[in-house]
Amino acid sequence: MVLEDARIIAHVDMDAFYAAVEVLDNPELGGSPVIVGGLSQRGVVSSASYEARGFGVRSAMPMFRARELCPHAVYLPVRMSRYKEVSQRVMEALGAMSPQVEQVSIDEAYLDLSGTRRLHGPPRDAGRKIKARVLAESGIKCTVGIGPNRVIAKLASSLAKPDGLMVVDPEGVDEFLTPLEVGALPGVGGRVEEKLRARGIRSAGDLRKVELKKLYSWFGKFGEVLFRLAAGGGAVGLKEYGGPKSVSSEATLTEDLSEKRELKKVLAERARQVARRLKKKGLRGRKVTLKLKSADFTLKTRTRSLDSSTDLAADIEAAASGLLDKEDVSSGVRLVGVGVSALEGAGLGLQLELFGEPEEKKRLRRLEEAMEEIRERFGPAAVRAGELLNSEE
Amino acid sequence: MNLEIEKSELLRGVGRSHNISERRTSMPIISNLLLEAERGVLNIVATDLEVSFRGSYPAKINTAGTFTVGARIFFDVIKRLPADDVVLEVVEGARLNVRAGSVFYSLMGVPPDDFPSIPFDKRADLVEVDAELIGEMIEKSKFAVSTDEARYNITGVFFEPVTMKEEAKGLRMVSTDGHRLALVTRAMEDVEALGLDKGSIVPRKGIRELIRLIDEEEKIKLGFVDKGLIARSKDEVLFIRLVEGDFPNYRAVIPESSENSVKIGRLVLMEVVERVKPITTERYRAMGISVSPGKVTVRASNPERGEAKETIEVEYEGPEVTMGFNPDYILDNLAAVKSDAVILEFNDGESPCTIKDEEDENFLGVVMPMRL
Repeated sequence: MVLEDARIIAHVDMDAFYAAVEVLDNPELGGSPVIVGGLSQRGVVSSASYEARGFGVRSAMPMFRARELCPHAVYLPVRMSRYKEVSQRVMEALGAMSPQVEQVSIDEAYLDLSGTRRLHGPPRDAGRKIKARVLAESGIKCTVGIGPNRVIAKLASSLAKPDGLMVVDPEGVDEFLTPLEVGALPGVGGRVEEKLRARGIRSAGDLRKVELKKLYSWFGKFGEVLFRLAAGGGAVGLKEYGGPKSVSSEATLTEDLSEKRELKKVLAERARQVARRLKKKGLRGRKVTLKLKSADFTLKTRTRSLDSSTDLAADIEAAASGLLDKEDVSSGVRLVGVGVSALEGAGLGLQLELFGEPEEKKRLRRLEEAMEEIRERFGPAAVRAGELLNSEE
Repeated sequence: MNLEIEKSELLRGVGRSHNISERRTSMPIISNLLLEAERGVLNIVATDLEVSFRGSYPAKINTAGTFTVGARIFFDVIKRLPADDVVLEVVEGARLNVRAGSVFYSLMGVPPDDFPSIPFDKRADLVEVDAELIGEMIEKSKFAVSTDEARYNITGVFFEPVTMKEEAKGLRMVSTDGHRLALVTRAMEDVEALGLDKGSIVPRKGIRELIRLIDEEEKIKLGFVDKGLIARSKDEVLFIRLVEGDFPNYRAVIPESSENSVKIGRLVLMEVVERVKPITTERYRAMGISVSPGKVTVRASNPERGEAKETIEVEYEGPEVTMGFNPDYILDNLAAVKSDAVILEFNDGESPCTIKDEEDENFLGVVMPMRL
């Protein structure tokens, strides 16, 4: 929810991501040109550190060409699983900044920062926070571009690389776009760019002077897109809400269970996982859904609405357990899941309580947080709720 | 049991009662209606143990007796009967035969031995009250009742005896769901005779049935007993089991005074909120209300839908204050008020905002904002 009029979108792009992860894992490589890619004769460059880029090496360049340009660079094979690991940490860091994150590739994401002013301050401060958080949690630097829509945000980040931050205010869009080469606009390359250049249109500023009718006759539907791009428009919000609509956790059981008491133990653990993730993302939900897959694979979901949103394992467990009580599980259950939806939290608007949060809930929250902290430090088995402990062996 | 009854009377009773019967229950007998034939009337009793209903309808009783029959099937049968006069007869204590003209049904049923006994007649000294007044009070307060069964002590309307201005006695109804609150007080001289003590919580389903009982009546009789409310009209009586537990200390959350206030046309604000509301979704529910000198701006912004903004001119000199609200909370509150203007009193976006009726100082709505 925004009360500032404009939408604020951030584009976060990791700097020379694969190469940066290699440097992170092998700090002695710091400062040298590092090139990651297919090392065979026919391989291509996947990622080149900025030191290597200084020699003209670019990603997607044939590897033999890179070797010609920068023979003394450190050449490394692609370790995708490791990059994914780091990427996940980056995305988690971003998830903590805004509930609406749309990951577009392993090293790139959009964040909707609209309505986070209270939380993060003005866009520039939010950008700084994002950079600091990503660096702290993943060890990798990134560039952040911020603008009123995705296109401007992405253009801003591409201009600010590496380790940069550029904020384009809604009022500054025209000035920002005018000098940009048309080739920099998304979707403009190759034939479109040639066609435009042939007509003397070199910059976004030139493009803005062209009538929509003409653009349409040249490029058809894409002409409309160009027109909006040049005017600083373009896709406004995030394409899809990467930010979760629900947070859930499920477990396929090692054997089918038909005892509610047993099922509730599984539910309790799922509820705990869901609560942990909600708390991490700063979200709370008002609907709790129980998912049961029976031994014959029929799927049931049952939902209960709460008056107040919660991020407490105890609340989620109680609601899910109440739903389970009404179900017949005598034929055996093979999968149990718990989900929380109708989320509220950072950027989504949080309904405040008239009577304040009851003391008991506050105590529970402190307890659950303390338990999660112990688990994080000493491992998942270090502390359990009494009920689960009794269930051991 | 053998009796003759007009179809319209029978349908009135069955239509009224079959919804009260609990269909999904661990106690099958209460999904049945209890029929009692005695002294010129057929009594129809339905209960879900929380709300119980008894309606009495004139009938020609040939043989007195009692029986129970499935509420749903009985309703489905009776509403389809073509003729005016219906004969009901229990055969062999196991079936209810229904005859109307050339139509004949024989419905499975059971004797009423296990049907719970309901204390409809526990109190003889019920207090006669103005039905319209009770109806109006309920209408003005019920919208804020909680639907969250986990917070059972707010799942009903709180009835409380109070002392009003100049020592006048009054009845107050308060409801809340933890995010908003509605309160209405009306003078009632004999409020103490209701037997309310410090106050009682009437559950939401009971409130719904109470509204039906009041419908088209001028006077009804009310009285609280231990754990129950009895409400009686000419030929119907409800026994509503009260919600146990303490209603929260609502007085503590009603702001004693607020720094700022603005008067707004009720219908204007309602229309504006209705226009802005479609932009909100369950996920992006908050709507912003900004009050600044000379105007109130209502807006919503939702990355999934777009934005909306509308301005209302008002007389206001105070500081600019922005608050986020669930639009439904505002709409419900405006709908409960009848006069032309409401007065919003507020401090900031984090503390309760009161919505008052310009012409009714005994109504009060309190809405807690959403943090934006």
